[in-house]
Amino acid sequence: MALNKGNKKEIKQILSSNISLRLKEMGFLPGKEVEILERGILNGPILVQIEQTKLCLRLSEANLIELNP
Amino acid sequence: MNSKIKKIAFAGNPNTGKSTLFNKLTNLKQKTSNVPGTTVELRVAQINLGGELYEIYDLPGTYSIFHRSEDEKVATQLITDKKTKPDLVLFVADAENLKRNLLYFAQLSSYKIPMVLIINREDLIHNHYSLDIERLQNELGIPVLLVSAFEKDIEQKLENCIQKNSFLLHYNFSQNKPLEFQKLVERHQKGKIDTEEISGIEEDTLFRQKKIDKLLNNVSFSIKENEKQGFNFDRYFLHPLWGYIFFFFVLYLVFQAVFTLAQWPMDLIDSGFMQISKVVGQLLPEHFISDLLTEGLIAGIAGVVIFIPQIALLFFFISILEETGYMSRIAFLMDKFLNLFGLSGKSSISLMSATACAIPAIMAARNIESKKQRLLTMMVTPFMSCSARLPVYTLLIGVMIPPSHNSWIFNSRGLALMALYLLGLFASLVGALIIQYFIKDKTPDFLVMEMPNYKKPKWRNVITNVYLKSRSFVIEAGKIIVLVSIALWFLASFAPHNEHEKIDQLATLHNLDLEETSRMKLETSYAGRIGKVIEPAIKPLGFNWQIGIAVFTSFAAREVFVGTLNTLYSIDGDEKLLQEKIQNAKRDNGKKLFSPAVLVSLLLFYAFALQCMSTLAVMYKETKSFKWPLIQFLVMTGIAYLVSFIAFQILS
Repeated sequence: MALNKGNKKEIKQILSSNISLRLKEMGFLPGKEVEILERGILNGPILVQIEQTKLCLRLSEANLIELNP
Repeated sequence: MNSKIKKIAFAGNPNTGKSTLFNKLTNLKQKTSNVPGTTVELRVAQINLGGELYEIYDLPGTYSIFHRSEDEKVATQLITDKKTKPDLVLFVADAENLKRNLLYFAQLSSYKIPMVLIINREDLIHNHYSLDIERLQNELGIPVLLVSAFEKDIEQKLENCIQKNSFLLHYNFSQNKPLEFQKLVERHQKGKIDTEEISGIEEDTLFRQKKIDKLLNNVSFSIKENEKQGFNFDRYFLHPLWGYIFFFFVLYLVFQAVFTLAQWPMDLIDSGFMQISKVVGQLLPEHFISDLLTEGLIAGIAGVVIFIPQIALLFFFISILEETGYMSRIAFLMDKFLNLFGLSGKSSISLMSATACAIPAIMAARNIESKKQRLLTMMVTPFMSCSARLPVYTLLIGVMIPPSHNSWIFNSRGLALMALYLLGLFASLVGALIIQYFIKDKTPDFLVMEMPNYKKPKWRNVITNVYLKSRSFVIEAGKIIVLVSIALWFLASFAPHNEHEKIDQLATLHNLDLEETSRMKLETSYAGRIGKVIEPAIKPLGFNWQIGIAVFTSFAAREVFVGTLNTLYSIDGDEKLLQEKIQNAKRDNGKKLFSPAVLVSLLLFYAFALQCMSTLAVMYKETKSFKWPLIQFLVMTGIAYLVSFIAFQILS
């Protein structure tokens, strides 16, 4: 999944896991557009924006969010 | 007149300005108090409006009724539990993130509790969209308040809300019957949810979100396309290089500021109390009660008050970091690094706060969702050098290293101090690395968190925060310190078998000087005897019975060490500076007591040992068991002994 700074992608689905509910509660929902704002160094967390909210998450958590190409 | 106290709770997502509204409504009448039936503390205040009493709660920020962290669990439990249910919920939502904010609101609506919706920071709405408040009120069936951070009469508006008749929502957010939903929430709280129920929860959540979307579409419309707000600070603060440089710069600034700024009021307090002690001593007749007052009580109180400038300053800076939103950036920057040791980025808040005092730092770990990471954070937090260690460090470093004339950047005393702080950090990281294998919980840790927009710190919040945290330190730790100081004074001033009277006779007989007499009196006193009993155990560390007394008493609270030494070396009434006296102190065999080897050994002991009853008390409350505080005490003190031992043996 290309997570380059500045990318804007639409969320296709949230893969099932024990944090999928929390991701959805925080605003990661299918159909919403995600923009990658910043990337942490050395596989650290990333900063994204959904609608008006900025959120950060680890790469391992981001991998649970399937994006449309 | 209705004499029942009405319960009002502020609820909502984190970062909505909930606490600001709570502060405005309650001023400084708030306390932290136990939630009935639990061991958790919340901010509560009692206010009087129009002759009626109200109990106002500021609940922790919560994203969903299906809690993830201890914080959220507490908030939800208070609202949903029949025993603690509030009479009115003031739900605070952020205008910027209304959709997400309203999820929790929608979930709470299944509980048939009167609510008021307060939409905060309306000044932002006008930038993006327009909201038809009246229509929203009609749809929901409850009062909706639009407020701004800058409004002057918010208190009035809030008071009106509270005093008016309360209403239940009539908007239906869910397709589930309320009772069924409530049962689901209850089962989730008890941890008894199976996979089928999880998909039920997800379905319910999705449904509510759709209803929220529908509602907002009816009452609002966009006037501008999503525009990014203001200057993009995060481009620099989260930059792979500049982000970290800036962070370390901030740490350095805070460190410097606290130690230079705190020095002046601390010196003032120090000399102030010495004066008071002198004056009281002169005014009162020669009697042991006056000695008790000056050398026991006043010295004890001085020992607590002298901390306040430093603790207050540290809490001040940490509060600013939180208020501006920078604290979450720190969690972002530190996450990967802390993961190496089994900790979470969110642990950085606890670790940083611990430099002021471990007690609020341990409580701050409630925002960590994973049970394992939370426990781990709490276990290692006391390794960080807290304010109480500072007087010990300062005194001993002052004796060990002569004042240098270098610039203050390379001051060797300052460097030694910084080394000790880094040692604390190192110990907490290594500690976490090891302890993580002993914690069996498997709940996953995750970082997903909101990065609030940067905002100017609200000074009222900062000051309130500083005041409350300092106050709780003074009251909690202060009680113990004063008691121990007084108890110690008794132990050091009296001896069994009339020993002291015999010594006085000997003194006149052989014309012994004051110093010699004091030394003998101390040795035979109760305190001295305790010291002698411990002596064999601490000899390998280089400590003698006098140091033994000081170390023993400071297991109640570290700062008592300095007060104890003061008592031990000034019972003779001499007023030379403590530092000087320690430099000249001698062992029973005439050799210098505080040699460099002993000083290093002592410093290391204090760096690692858990010497704080308040910490153990908080650990007990937060972990709801004796097991973890006990392990923490044994491990930390064991390490202290070992390191001290090795250091002394190598250096001497």
